[in-house]
Amino acid sequence: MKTKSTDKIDKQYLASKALMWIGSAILLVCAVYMIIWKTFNDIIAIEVLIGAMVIIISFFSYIGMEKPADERLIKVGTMSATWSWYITLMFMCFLLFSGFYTPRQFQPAELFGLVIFVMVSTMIVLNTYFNRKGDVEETFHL
Amino acid sequence: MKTRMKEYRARYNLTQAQLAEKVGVRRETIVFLEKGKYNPSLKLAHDIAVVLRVKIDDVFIFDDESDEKED
Repeated sequence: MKTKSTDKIDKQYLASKALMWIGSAILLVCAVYMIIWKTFNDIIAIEVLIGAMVIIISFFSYIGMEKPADERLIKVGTMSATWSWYITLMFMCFLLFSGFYTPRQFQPAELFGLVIFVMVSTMIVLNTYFNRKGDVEETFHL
Repeated sequence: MKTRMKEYRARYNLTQAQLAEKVGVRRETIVFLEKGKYNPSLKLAHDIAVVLRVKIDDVFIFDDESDEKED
């Protein structure tokens, strides 16, 4: 068995966690702007692009695509990303049905903002929840 | 599942950070393992058992296994 450095894992974890928060904050601000003002301009487009790039790169670093990696972080990160994607899909289905049965018309920018907001916020919430809980499974009876 | 990691770790005067360093995980993972809140992979369980110089089933005891011993 090889001895690995947890210092490297810790530094990688803290750096990628900080970047994930920054990327999430940029995306959430843009999402709120699009939901409230229902418009989409060049500055928002660049901010969304930067936010998405930062969050994607830091997420893969967070779950340990760069070795060494902590197996618990991989489990927690991948499970929160999976649930976040699933919740967003359900939310989009809900929006589609609500569009059929209500007179409310959504603007494209507003829809884009809603999807970004739900995806990013559920991922942050679930990641924090699983991280504090310890695991993504319910197998312990101490 | 119950774990005797803390007991075996004390035997070798290992801190949580030192054990984490040896098996290549973060200290928080060892904390959650000792609290019984994290289910380790077979690889991690094996690495911990090797560091603590015991068998895997000495460190990690599953509920059905402990029930069988009691019976």
